[in-house]
Amino acid sequence: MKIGAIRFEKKQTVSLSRKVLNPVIFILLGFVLSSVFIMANGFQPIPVFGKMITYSLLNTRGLIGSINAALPLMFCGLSVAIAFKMNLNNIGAEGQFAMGAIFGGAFALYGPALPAPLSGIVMFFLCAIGGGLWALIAAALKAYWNVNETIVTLMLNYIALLFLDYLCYGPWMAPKQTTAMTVTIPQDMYLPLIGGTSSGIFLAIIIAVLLYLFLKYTTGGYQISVIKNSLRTAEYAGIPVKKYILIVLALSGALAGVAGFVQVTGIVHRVQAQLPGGSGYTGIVIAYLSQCNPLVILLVSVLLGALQNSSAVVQIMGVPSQIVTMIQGTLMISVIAGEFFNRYRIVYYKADPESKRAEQKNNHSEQKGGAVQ
Amino acid sequence: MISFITSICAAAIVYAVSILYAAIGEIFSQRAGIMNLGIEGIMLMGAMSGFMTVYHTENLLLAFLVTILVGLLLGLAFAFLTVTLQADQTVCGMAFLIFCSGLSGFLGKSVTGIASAVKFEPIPIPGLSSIPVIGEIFFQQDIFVYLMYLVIPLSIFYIYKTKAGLMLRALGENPASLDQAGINVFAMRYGYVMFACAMTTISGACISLSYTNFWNEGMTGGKGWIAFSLVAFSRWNPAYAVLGALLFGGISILGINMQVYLPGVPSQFYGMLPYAATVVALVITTGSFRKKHSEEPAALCQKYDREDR
Amino acid sequence: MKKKWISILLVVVMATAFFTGCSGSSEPKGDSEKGALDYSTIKIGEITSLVVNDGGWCQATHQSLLAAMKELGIPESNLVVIENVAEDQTSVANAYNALASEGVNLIIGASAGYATFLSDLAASNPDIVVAQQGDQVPNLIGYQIRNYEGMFLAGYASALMAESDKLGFAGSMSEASVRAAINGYALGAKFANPEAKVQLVWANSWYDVDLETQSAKTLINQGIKFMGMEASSPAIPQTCQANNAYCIGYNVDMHDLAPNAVLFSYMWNFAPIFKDILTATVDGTADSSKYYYEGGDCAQLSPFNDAIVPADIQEKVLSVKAALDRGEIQVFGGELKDNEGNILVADGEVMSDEDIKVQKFLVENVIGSWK
Repeated sequence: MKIGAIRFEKKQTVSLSRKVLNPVIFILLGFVLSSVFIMANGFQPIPVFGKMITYSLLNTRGLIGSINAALPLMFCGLSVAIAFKMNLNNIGAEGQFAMGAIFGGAFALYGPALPAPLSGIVMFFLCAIGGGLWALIAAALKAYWNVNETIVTLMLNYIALLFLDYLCYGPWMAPKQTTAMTVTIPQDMYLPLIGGTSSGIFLAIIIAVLLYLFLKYTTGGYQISVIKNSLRTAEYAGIPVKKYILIVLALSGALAGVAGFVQVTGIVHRVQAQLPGGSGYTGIVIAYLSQCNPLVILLVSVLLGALQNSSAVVQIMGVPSQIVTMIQGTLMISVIAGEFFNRYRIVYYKADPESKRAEQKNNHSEQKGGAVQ
Repeated sequence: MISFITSICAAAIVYAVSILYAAIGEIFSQRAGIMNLGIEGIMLMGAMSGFMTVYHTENLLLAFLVTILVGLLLGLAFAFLTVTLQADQTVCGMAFLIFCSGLSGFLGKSVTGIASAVKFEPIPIPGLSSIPVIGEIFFQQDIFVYLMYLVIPLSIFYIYKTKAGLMLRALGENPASLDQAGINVFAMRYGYVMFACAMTTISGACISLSYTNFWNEGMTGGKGWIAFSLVAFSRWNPAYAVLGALLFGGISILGINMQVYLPGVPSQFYGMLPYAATVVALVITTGSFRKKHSEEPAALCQKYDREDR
Repeated sequence: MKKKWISILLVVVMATAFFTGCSGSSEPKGDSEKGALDYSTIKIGEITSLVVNDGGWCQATHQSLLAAMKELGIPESNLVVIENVAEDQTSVANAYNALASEGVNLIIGASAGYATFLSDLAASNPDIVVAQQGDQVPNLIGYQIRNYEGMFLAGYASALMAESDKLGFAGSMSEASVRAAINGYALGAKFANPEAKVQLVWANSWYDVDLETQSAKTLINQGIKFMGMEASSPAIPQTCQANNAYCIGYNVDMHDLAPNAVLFSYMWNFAPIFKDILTATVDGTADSSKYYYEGGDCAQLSPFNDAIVPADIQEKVLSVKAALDRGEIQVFGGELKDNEGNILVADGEVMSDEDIKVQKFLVENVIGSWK
């Protein structure tokens, strides 16, 4: 591709430092682009960004808030990522989150009373099972009838959220109360706070590391990558594709269900209508931005949690809430567009006859050219 | 009873049309190999820009044109990111959704929650509209519906019967072969993405200029997602998209009526009906198409890079 | 390779320097001091679930707050609004902390869903007065309006205007205050016409143009000409207008959205409550156990639509309003039955405020279910 004297040439390899540096640079570029909207609205961009960052990342209380906000996002991101590792589009993390909370909530509120650590563990698994079963509907349809999982998971979102609404506005609603939430769960099931941070963060780290190891070092992880690369090869090699579809989507749903667990036991301490609050959809962005790397997902989730949390503090300065949403979009677009420069480098052609001749000879070649590097 | 059925059918058509523009646009875009997940946001931009124009000028035609222009511009930006820069289409779509919902809310702030003086009113077609039942269902609608009567056959004809349509299908299947044949793959994709975004903004305008005549932040309320799922549901064929949209619209309207005719069931369960029906319909259609060749464009969401050839 | 990155960095640094250079100008300062009770220094934070000009609930709250501030001479710049705050713990805590770090004296939580979360947060910082719409919870001043009084008049007017006995109601979500609106409407209709029945349809969404349009159409298809609503978008009035039906607006004055369909509107008027809370915050008498449950002027009606509502009906409605204000009419007075046949209030008795606030029933002449 070329524009005037500038050419873009494909790179063969990308160094790790480049992989890290590139998003940083394009986040900065995103801030520069966003400052246009901020200035158009009569504000100075630097104080606005400064406040955003100091409040939500460089300040203990803010950072804790960002991590807590990021917790459900982490699990939803992991959920979407594991499915996509096998080319399955699970956009149903939102509904699986809700179903996990419903299953876990049913136990916490109406189930038998168990001693402290055990009750938490049972609830954890029930949340995972709730989310997993909900995803399994889409998985079974995909595995046995090849029904498009993108649509099914999306439709199941609406159904799960309406069911959660039904429970919270109806039979589960706390007595003597007007808002759509249940009573609090037993206190001994609360996830402990460590210096204000929900200890769910450790759960997230453990699960992310396990997933990372699973995908990288086990036969299962390898077979998943074979299925992603070529379904035909996988079938030819005798990999049980159907079984993998069922397992991976159920696992994906279970992870989203665990988001329900950390949110209910760690933060909200009750089940409420609209509990997922869009985390499932944000999870899609997180998974793809992190290129489905479980460890990167944790980091990106915190950044997005910080972005969400900085919305309030920026509004205090008078910046409209919509501008904050636009900044979020701009940053994402900038980072994702910046990916291009990971794969390409800019080459500046001097108008010397030799390179022109080379260009005519082979229109898309990579060699030659007076690259300014 | 007949008047009940006709009114439900007429309402289902209005509903279907409001998502079909976006869905058919997206069919073209995905046929060309580019998936746009940000339909919802682009619809909001269409709804906002159309309403804004009508509010200030009271000129519906101008509003319609402005809406299309906004769609083309958004399409240009989306194509630049996904075609030229080959950015990941899923994130790009989501980022567009977030950006556009913020932008539409911001730009539309001054006209939020107030009604415009004019809107697209139903125009009964002389003669046809007086046919019993059919006239009421099909020919007492507004211009968006009549325009859709043209868009449906034209889009089907274009995709399946013209040389351009053949090229479009090839574009989504195997862009490299088209490129080798000397066709500018990039320009074609730009064109289709821009077309799709313009259609999507028309869907938005449907909501703010015909359905109602006001604007509010986030007023499309998830319609973009329905339009998006309609695309794969229809197996990238506008004819099935029409059926799907009518099914979805009809059942969601029926669900509200059921509260009156069949009381006693919690109303949330009626609210689930259209989504459950979509899943069931999808299972049935997938089953019956199983033997056939998958219609999904092979190059959908794949980055096309000339230097990879 | 290196050179390029250095140049890009340079651009970024230059841009940064440029913006920092621009940001030298000073921010506008607060106003001068005033008399005995000094209102000019109070800083108020408002948290809303949507935007403050949403044409519905948030707008009503925001306008009331501005009106109260204006009356007390508090400059608008003393108000900080945080919009689009979801009703979940993380978002609410974040908004609260941001406002706290800004040093506000009073926080107004304008959505019932914030109550439980703000209650926990307020305990940590007793210096900040928090007022919260909806339930009465610890640590917060609670406020709620007896919307059923206004809706009683709405139902009364609808029943007087309607030729048939059947009226309609388009509800959003089955929450106690919404049920209060429906029940108020139905009881008002019954007051005018003992045979009046109210057909209820739920949209199951707080804001959905489609579902609200369809709700109104469903009612109209039942032959219903007059309906009440508890919904935020203008879709219902506009659908009525397009189908020669009529409705009572809700939240704010909806006249301009559908001038040929809206008889009048029920409007939330929190201004008297806010005025009281603001005064208490400034003079230091704010009591976090206080609960406002106000009717009368707070459950306000917009001016009548003279083109539709005849003068004699306007007069009748106003005289019933006067009787309500004097306490001669008790909306939830006995004997009161729900639509499942249970007796809620015995003859001669009146339902307690506690039961009215959390009501989980629909009165006898409502066709529909609250569950």
